Amino acid sequence: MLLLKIKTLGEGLHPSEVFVSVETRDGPEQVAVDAKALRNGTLPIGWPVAKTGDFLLVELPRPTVSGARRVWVRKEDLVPDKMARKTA
Amino acid sequence: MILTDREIQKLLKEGLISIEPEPPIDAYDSTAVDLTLDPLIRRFRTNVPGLIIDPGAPGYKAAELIRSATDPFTLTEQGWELPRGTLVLAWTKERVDLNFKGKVAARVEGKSGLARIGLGIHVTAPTIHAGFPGTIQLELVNHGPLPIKLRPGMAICQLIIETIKGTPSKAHKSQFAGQVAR
Repeated sequence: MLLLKIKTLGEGLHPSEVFVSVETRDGPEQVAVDAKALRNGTLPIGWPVAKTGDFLLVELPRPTVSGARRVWVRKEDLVPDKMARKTA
Repeated sequence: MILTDREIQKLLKEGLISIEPEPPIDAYDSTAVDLTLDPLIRRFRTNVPGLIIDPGAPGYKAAELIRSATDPFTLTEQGWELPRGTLVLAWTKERVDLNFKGKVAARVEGKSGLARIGLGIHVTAPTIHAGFPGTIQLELVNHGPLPIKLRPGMAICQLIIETIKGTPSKAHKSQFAGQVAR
């Protein structure tokens, strides 16, 4: 499993949610995610589903505010989930 | 295929999905489990002159608009009357985690007793995708002729859990997995 680097923007609409910003090929996208899902400035996203050039297509846990569920992100913004690897 | 109460409880016991706090035994029926209403809701302001929601506009940001057009409100034990024809945003008290290992997705649906008095619990967006973690956001609408009292902890919706066929791409270690920063 991989973790996507994100920037925390602030509280979501509910205390269980946090708004984060994800850098995508088409610019920053905002998404409200489960606060407990975040890990030190990263968000678990599973595995990429496609690749083009330096970008990988990943599926976010929830749609962005513009409605996108899958977004192209730079491969540098993805890091392996070492904890998942240890427990796998 | 819709899971029975016993199958849901089996997945919970095996840690393949989680619902926290775990629902009591009387929250189940044969093919669903009830979830309850969190005390915090968001009420739309109705006195914003000139505010028109324009979802098709370039740069439209739903969350920012909702934040600016709603106020958080905490339900007390005495409850609060949802006026007829009114939409509020609400959440389940329970946090649901449909881990991919469980190979399930879910739908959040209303309860018949609430439907008969006009309370809708979502606006055409019932799907809880495989892999989803979090509390479930609800869109409560009173379609009925009378005010409906909302109380924290009331059984507000039911979760119907279904098996999925196959493994989604994002849960499948792909050829692209090795192409990331280390």
